[in-house]
Amino acid sequence: MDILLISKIFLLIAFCIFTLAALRLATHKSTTMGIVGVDAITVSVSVILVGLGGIYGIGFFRDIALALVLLGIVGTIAFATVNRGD
Amino acid sequence: MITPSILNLIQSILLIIVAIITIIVSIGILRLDKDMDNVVYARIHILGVIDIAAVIAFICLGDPLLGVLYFILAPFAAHAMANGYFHGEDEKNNKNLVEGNEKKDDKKDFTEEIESTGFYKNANEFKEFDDSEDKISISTLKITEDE
Repeated sequence: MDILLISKIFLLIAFCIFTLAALRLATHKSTTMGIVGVDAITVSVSVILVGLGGIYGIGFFRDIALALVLLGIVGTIAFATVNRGD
Repeated sequence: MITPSILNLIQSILLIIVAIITIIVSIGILRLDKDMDNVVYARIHILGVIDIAAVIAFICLGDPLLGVLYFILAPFAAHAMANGYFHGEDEKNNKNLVEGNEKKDDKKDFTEEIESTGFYKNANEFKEFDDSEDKISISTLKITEDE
């Protein structure tokens, strides 16, 4: 195993831990914390998908991550606007 | 001259740094005192660290397009969340949300709109004009064929 693969696996484990932390964050009482938590989950899942796609050579993981990043941010801004009261 | 092995080493070091930062953020965001003032803004601020860590991770994993895209879009999302919280839920800092101190609705009253058309001189005239009985008299008329 080369050092790049080990570091990728370490990164994936770290982001899995962060996904659990973000899930806990999303379960807080206020609506905003739900939005913040889901936004964090979106980012971490995107990084995990790109990492897994790189390790196993699965090309469409990258496309899924791109869609997830774009739609996640659009959804976050939309929900935040609704939460604002406009 | 940068050889591929040096590039791999730099990539690996950056990925390990990102992983360590991510673990520190995961622990820190859960240990943050929930009774603290403005804790939501603090959490959004902490997640800014993850945003940059994710950008570095995307670039190091060979996806610079995603990294640049997220680098541009992440501040908009963070600002939208903080702005939404301030105007929607933050009763400590936003005085408009405190009960009895609400902002007056910008929409005009219905009678003021009618008054502005000029058909009635003022709103009181509109209120005094009551045609409910006329309607009843019309509706109770007996119409025969002879008439």
